[in-house]
Amino acid sequence: MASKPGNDFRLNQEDKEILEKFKTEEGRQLAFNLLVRKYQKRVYWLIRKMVIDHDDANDLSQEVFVRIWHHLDEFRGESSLFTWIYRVATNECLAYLKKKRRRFFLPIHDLEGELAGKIESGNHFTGDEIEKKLQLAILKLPEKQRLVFNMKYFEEMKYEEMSEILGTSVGALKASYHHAVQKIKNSVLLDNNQDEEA
Amino acid sequence: MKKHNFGMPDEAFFEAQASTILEKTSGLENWKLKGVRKPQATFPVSDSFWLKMEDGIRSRINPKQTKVFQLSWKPVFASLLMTLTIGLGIWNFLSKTSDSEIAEKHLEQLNQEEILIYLTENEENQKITELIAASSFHETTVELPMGADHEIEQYIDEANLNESDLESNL
Repeated sequence: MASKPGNDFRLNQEDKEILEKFKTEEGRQLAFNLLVRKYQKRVYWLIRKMVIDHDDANDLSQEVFVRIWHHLDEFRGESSLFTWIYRVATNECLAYLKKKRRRFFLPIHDLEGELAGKIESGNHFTGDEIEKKLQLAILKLPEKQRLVFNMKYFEEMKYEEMSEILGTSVGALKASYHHAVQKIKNSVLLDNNQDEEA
Repeated sequence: MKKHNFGMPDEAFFEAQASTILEKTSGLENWKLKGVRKPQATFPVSDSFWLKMEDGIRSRINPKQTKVFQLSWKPVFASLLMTLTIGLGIWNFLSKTSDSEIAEKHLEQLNQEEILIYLTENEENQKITELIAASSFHETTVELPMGADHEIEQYIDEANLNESDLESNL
């Protein structure tokens, strides 16, 4: 069974070859194409879960890879390539959300409201009622907790790997995830009770 | 009086407590909402999107022309519009002549005959004519003949005025 890309902490052979090729003038473009093809989906889905809108996710994902193109030479191989790429993507994503909120002078709940509106409109989301409830409950979490929840719940990432990406201790991540699950459980249960009452 | 037991709890207590904590945390750790698929299945994306995204990235890292100044059309259009509005405002202000200036120009074009016809046309205009005439009467200065000063001197001599008369009248 093939392992998921990036679940190994060390630099794997495939990534080593990509990096070697990237260092040469003639292999640089080819190596980058390989890297994009290997990681684009995971980067896109990480961002899409955070920004909800497809066009925004596409634009941000492209921005992440442009950044990687310019800074890959600086990668020292101290973590897996995937971890490094994910770190770039999460930073880009959080910066985008911060900028968006500042640009429109929106308090935090308004940005959440805007994203929730996108889920409810049906143009950006095709899930059933329970999936919609889960997504709306996730949107109520603080941004970093949303990242932690998405990484653990949907991508089943290890706390150690998340710790490298987010620069937070494993203990803090565990606590953050447990809090997130608790809030989501309460929110979904509350919604269900309200539905039953209605 | 009730006696408190501050002795060490036995092994069984710690085992029970540990299993409760593990149960609670693993319950949260492995919690899943039934029937929920991964976002890949619920957020729609077209099949051709991944290739388009690759092309998008490629075009962003290899721009065909390297521009020294990145021209963004929105601010350029906005500044052009603003310049045009300001220009139109200035032109409108400069080209606008006051009513009195128009009237003055019109009067300059009239000949004397037309003015006279207007002034004698009706009663009100005649009053204006009279007023103008009256004001010109007040303004008329009487020019005495050249020898006037001499005649006054002669008159004074003939009056035979003495010095005290002159002083009392001055």
